[in-house]
Amino acid sequence: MADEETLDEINKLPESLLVQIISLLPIKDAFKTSLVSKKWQHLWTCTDNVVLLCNKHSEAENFVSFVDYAFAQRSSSKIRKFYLDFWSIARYSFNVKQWLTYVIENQVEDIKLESVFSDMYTLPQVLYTCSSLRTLSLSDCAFDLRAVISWKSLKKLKLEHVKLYNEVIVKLLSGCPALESLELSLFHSFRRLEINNPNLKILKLKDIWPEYEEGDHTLEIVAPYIQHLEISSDIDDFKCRLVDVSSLVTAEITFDIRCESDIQDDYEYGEFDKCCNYHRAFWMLVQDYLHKLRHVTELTIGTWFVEVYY
Amino acid sequence: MSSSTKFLTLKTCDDKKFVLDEAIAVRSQTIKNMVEDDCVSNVIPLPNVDSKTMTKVIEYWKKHSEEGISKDMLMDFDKAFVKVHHSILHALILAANFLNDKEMLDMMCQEVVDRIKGKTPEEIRKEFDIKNDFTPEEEEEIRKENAWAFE
Repeated sequence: MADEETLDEINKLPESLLVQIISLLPIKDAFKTSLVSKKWQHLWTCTDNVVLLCNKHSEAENFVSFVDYAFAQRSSSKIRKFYLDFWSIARYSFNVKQWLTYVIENQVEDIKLESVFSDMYTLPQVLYTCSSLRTLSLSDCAFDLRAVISWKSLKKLKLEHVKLYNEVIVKLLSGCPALESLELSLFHSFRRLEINNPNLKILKLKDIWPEYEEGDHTLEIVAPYIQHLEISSDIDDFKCRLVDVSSLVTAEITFDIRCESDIQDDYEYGEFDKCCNYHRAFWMLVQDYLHKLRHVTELTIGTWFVEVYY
Repeated sequence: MSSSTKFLTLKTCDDKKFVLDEAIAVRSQTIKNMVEDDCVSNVIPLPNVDSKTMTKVIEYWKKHSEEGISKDMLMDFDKAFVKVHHSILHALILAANFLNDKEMLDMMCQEVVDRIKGKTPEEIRKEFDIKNDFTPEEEEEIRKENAWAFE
């Protein structure tokens, strides 16, 4: 009978392949497979990924106790990926620190932390010296200013909505000698980004958090080894100055420009001069871009380029 | 160019032969290793793959080796390719695993994942025709231990 033939086909897959499949599921779905059949009962405890998803406030409490239970059940010691996309990491920092400690002890290679509720989570000490990390993606996090950062194997770093003071970015760059790609978005800006690591070839900057202090908002980029640069989206009234980007091959400079008249609500016609000054300064900046980017093979530039040169 | 094209003959477990451009066949790491180690005689036996499955695998390889094919076209092809009965899906996973084609294996595994996601254990059993070998008591015991997760 055809039905008899196809019955339990998937159960005939070797356990290693079933584990590989279950490893791709978020933890609640992975756990549910334990009731499928006796063969599947313990497979979810052998996965090498831990993917934790819980976006609802109402479920957070139950979710946290379930995850504590799930970690206690684990029979595999190897963890490759740890993804946490949670309602609020900061409010459950005690549990999150325990989970991070566990995965770091098990040589985790890839960590991603994301919060729905964007209260800042100060990263725990245990994370700063995780030498097995290869990719790290963080959002809504703050660095402990006293921490020593040492991510020896880290190749890819992505930070979103993270406070980055000058001293933090300096420490970060010197603590990641293997870093190849750095992506920052919606960051509280430092004023100078100096990259002297020849491994770091890709730099992406997107959305700078607005500064309310008066004065000139400039971000200097000194990165003689980078080959790909992107500056995109809303960088407020920041002026990104390219001091040294002499190895660039491709560049996408497509951020939105905003002069004072766009930013200030109480902008009055009398401040027209200020606006003119901004545009003049911006025109100079674009001149400088064209000069600094003249050796680039592939250049994508924002529509403001046309406006400035009109 | 055509004069330098080399062909390989693959023989499946049901004794069917497939003649294939070597450049396409080496999408399989297993075959690639054999070619590089010079262990290829006239015919490469594939004792773990049947002809019906191999036809599907070759269809996938050929499409993914087509010159000038757009990403969107490949995405549409892949989408349609994985929409098969679970018994074929299972055979393709085993074949991709044996042939060591990571790209194809990842895609097939992801399809199984998509069919499991969000389903209750009963629905997963139904989806894949899996026999429930738990007694009601055993099942109750597991459910009780973490009732919230099964809600």
